[in-house]
Amino acid sequence: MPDYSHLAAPIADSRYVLAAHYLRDCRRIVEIGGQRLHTFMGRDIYRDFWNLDPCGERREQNGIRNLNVPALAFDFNYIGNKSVPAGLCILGMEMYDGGYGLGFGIESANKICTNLHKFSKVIIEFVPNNQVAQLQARMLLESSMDFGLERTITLSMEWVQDREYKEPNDSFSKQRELWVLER
Amino acid sequence: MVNVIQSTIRAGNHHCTCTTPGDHVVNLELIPIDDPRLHSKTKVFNPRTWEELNDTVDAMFELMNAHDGIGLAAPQVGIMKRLFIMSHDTTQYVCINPKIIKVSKTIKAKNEGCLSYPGLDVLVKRPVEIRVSYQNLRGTKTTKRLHGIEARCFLHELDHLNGIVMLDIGIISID
Repeated sequence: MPDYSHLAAPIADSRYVLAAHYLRDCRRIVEIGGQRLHTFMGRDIYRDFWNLDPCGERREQNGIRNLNVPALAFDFNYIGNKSVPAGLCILGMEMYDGGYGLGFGIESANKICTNLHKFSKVIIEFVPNNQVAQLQARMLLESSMDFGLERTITLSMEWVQDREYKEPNDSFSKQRELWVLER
Repeated sequence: MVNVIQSTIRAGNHHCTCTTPGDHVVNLELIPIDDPRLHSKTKVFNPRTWEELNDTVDAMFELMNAHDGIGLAAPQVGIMKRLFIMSHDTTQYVCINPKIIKVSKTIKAKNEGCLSYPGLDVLVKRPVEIRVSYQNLRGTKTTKRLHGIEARCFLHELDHLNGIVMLDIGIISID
């Protein structure tokens, strides 16, 4: 079972703060994993919100649909046409894990990539030193859509390891890189 | 009769309620990160009576202090007027319709935080000294020279009044 405990630390919330900021204009949002982005966003602002997390609980409330399904099972046609700005948020997971155990599988990753053209903004997070995952994802993202890399933000979660892990987990880097891609 | 000012604070999952004596009930909360008002320019403030501002400003100080902040702009609580508050050491500022008269040529980059973006530090370049004017809580026009953290805070809050947040102009680092 992959170790996600570093994502429960307060510093991990900063990624959601950033994602909420950059996705603020999106009226349709798909979050893969996490089930937390919507807690950082206003409830009064009308938007369609889907969270896809096979490990999560299925529920629907205030326009937020938590679906306990993998991305592979999601019908991306819900995103609709480009006239409604849509955002995709993938935090704390790799599209291609490169052996780190946090990826969500080649089929789901491919499905997401083939549907990226439906989104106007994508927030995605990588492990910078996982070069295989990063290179694969960068090539796919750049070839499958006309996005530009608006910002790269380096996140350090090392203190989480220092303060909260008695035995450092060497199998997963606490250094993260967050990309903001915009059409 | 003493009523109660209640300031309900929401930032992510954090909620709290503050109470102070006052004349009217003023409910304030930080608006969410994705609220378009954080990115909108505010209008010049011409209150009908300056006294009516007292309760709002008191509630803003309550909210700011509850978050250990040193500045809070009206748009952060959904008030789209040119008003912000600041606090440094023992000095409290209420700045209404603030303007910059002069800025120093010396620029410094320093980390800033913001109550609207909890947990984020953003490196922002700003002049180290500024000369500013604003109206105080009585409506009297005041001119001041600010430097260091006071100048930085004034410029940060003034940016809020113009719909600019630190993420728009700085370098984000989280560690």
